[in-house]
Amino acid sequence: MFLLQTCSVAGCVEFAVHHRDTCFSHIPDPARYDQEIRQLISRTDTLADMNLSFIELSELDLSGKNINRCILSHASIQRVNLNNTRIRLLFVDFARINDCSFRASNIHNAVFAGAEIEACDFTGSDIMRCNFCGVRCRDTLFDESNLYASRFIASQLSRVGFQDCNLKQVRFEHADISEADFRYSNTEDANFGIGAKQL
Amino acid sequence: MRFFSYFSVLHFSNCYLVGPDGPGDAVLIDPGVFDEGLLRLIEDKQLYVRYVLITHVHHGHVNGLQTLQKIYDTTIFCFDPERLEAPPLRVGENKPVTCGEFSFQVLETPGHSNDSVCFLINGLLFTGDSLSAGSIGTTATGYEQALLLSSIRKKILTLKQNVLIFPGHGPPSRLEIERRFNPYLKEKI
Repeated sequence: MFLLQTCSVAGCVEFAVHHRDTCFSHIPDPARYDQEIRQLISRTDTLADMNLSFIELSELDLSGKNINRCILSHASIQRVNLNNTRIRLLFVDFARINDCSFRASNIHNAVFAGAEIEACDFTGSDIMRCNFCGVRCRDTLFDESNLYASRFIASQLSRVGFQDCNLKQVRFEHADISEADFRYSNTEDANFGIGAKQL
Repeated sequence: MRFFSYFSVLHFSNCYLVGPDGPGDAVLIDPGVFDEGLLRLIEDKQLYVRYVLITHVHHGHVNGLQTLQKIYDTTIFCFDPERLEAPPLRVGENKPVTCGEFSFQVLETPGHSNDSVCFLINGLLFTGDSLSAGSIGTTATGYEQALLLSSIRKKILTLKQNVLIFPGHGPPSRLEIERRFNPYLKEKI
């Protein structure tokens, strides 16, 4: 269940965030809200049905948690441990994700599209049917991951590791790929199509 | 409103379930398969599939109907009723589809097939094979591709940018993402 209630401020088209009737930019005290959310997500094992768009999360340990049907669009996520998480239907589109670890996670139907992903580690994860279209991804590892049916269309991938991955039905059309490592992966099952530039 | 997605390995297609907060009548969109997993999802949530919406009559989106109708007394809606054996009710842009407490806006988006429609409710857009993450539906001819792109531009790209997109195949997306990164839409605008 997505709580897609529009912000109560007249003319605003953003969705209201979790436990508030306004979007993040119209919260009177965003720092206090950040703190409240930090405490909330730290003490619960399952994060479900939350809209936390535009929130700033840093230095958090969310390893082993279940994250279901949440929206963190345009969020800033830095130095967060998400190892061994189980993620279903998550929107982190247009987010800034730096120095985060998603090792050995199980991620289905997550939307990272348009995000900046830098120095992150997805090693050994199931990343199935996820949307990485338009991401700007640097210095990040997807090694030993199952990326089945995920899409990196029109993405910019620089110094990204795809070593020993399952790339079946993975789509890279129009991607700008430089210094990527596809060793031992089944690139023949992926679609690089037209417009993918491998440097 | 509760919302769930279900992936069918049979046709690699997505099926969606929209239901009330508690037990009650639910809407199933594009049952490309009706297997034990989907049945368990519906029953665990204490829902009853009273309505089915079909984005277009291709196998990967309707194959589960026969089994479904043996279990639930359901009303089916699609754009071209003559293409299904059990006659469903016709949908069109002239009026929303009312499924109990849920009202879906219908967007006619021909191109991938003549009967393609999308359904919109509460900022969730179910696009079938018309539009998916970074791509559009396959078409047999250049004319049909032009028709599909025209449909998408007129009907979908004019919606609010924070509309969430749930396609018949592949991962979910958002309208803003497709506007900015979908090569088909960028190239042709």
